[in-house]
Amino acid sequence: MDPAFLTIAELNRFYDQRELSPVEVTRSLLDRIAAHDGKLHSFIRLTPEVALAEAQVAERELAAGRRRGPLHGVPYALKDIVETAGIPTTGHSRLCRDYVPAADAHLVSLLKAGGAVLMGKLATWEFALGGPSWDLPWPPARNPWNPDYLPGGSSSGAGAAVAAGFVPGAVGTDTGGSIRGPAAVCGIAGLKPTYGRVSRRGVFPNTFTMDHCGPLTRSAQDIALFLQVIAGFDPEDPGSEDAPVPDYAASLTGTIKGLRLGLIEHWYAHGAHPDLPPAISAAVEVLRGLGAVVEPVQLSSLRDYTDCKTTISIAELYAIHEEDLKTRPQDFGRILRNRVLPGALIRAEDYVQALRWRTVLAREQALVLKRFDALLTAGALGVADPADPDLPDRLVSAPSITMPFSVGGLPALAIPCGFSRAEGLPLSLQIAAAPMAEPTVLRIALAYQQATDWHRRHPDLR
Amino acid sequence: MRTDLSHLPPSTPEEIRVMARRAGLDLPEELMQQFVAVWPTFEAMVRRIPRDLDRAAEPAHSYRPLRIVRS
Repeated sequence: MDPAFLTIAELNRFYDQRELSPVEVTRSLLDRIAAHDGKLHSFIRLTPEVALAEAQVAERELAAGRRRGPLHGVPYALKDIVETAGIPTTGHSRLCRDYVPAADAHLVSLLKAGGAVLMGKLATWEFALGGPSWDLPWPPARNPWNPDYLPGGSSSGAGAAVAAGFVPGAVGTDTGGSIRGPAAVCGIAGLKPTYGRVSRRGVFPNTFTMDHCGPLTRSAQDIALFLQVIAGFDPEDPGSEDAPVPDYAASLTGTIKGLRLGLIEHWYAHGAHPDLPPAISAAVEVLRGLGAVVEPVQLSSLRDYTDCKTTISIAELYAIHEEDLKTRPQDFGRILRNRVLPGALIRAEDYVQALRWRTVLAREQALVLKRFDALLTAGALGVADPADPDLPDRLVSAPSITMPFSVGGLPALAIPCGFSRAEGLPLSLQIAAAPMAEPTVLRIALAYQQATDWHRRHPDLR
Repeated sequence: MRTDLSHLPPSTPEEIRVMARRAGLDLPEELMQQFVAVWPTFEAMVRRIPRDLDRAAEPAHSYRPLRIVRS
C-alpha cells in the first residue's frame, strides 16, 4: 500500500490493524521525497536518521499496545523557523545558515512526547516574511500542482510537502496568513489557531502579538488530530493562554444544522480571481444544504486590516533585525530587506496608533461574532503566483484576505473548495470563529469535507 | 470622513535619504536606491492609519507581570 496520500486518521487505523508500520511508512515517504523534491524544493534539510530512529521506537511501542496519541508513528516536518535541538534551524536565511539550537521549541517537545516522526525542516520565506527569494542559499519551494507556480508563503515548504504527499502533516507559522495562504494555494487544510493556543517558545519571532504556530494537513479531521498534540498552555510563552484544551476530535460531529454563519463577501467580490466567487457561493450552498443559516455580514475593508497589521509587523520586525540590518544588510535577501528596512522610519506614534486601531478592529469582529457562530470568506484572493523572480512585490500594495483574522487573533482555517478553470490550481474557503472556538471551525470544515471531495484530489508528480 | 495623514505630500527621494540617515541606516548606494523606491508604499500605508481613535482606545499589546515572573 502506498502511504503517500493517506491521512493521519487513516494511518492510525492501519497501524491499529497492523496493515502498515511506522518504519514502512517513513521509508516509503523518504523514497518519495528523494524522487520528487528535487523539483519542488520543499525541504531545506531532511533528517532520515532521526526519522527512522523515531519510527522504530514508535513501531515497538505500538506493537506493545502503547499508543501515545494521534500522531504516534506519524511522519511530519517543521517549518525551518521552529528550533530543533542539534538540528540546524536556518530561518531560510544566510544569517542563520549555521545556527544549531541547543533546545527544542516547546511544540517540538510535545510532538516528541507524542511519538511523532520528524522527517526534516521545510523551506520558508526568509525569517517567515521575505519571499519568495531567489538570492538566498536555498531556492524557493514550488507548487506540487504545477512547479511553474509557487506554493504561497511563508510556510511554503509545509504547503508543498503536505500537498505533494511527502508528509501527512506539517507545522507552519502564521502571522498574517502564512499557514492559510500556502494551504489555500496548495489545496490542503491549514489552521491558524487562536493567538496563545499553541506555544511560540523556540520559534523565530516575526510579530510578537500576531505570531501563531499551527498545523497543515490534507483534511479537517487531521487538523483536529494534529492540534490535539501541540495545543496547550506554556507558562514560558508570555502570550500563551491558560485555557483547557478540548477533545478536538470529539467536536467533529458531522452536523452543522442550525449554525449561524456570516459570509464576508465584500472582501472577495471585486478584484479576486474570477473563478473564486462562484466557488465560494457553491461552498455556501453546500453548507446551507447541511442545515447552516448563512447571512451576509460587513466588516472593515481588507485595506484597513492590512494597513494595521503591516504597520505593527514592520516596526516589530525592524526592531528584531535592527542590528543585522544596519551592519550586514547585504546578507539578507532583497525582498526581506526591502520589506523590513522601512520599519526604521515608522514613528513611535504610528506604531502605537496601529496598535490602538487593532483593538478597534478586533472589537468589530467580536461584535459580529455575537450574532454568528462562525464567519466565512475566501482563503486566498487568487490562485498560486507564477514562479517569476521579476514579479513586483505585492505584500504591502495588495490587501490580504488572511490578515483580518490575524488582527483579531481568531482561529481561522483554510480548506480547498475548487479549482480554477484556466490554471487548474486550487481555490480555498476560509472559516473563522471566536477565540478558542476551534471546535466550531473544525466541525464546519469536517461537515463540508464529508459532503465534498476537493480535499481528496492530489497532484500527480510524474 | 476619517482623520488620517493621507493629505500630506509624499516625501521626496532626498527627504527619504535624510530620514534613513537620521534613523542610523548607512546603506550602500544600491541598497539605498532600493529603499528610496519602496518607502513611498509604506509611507502611504502609515498615513492611512486613522488618527481620530477614541482617547481611551487601548493599544493591542499586553503586559502581564505574573507572566514575566513565571518565565
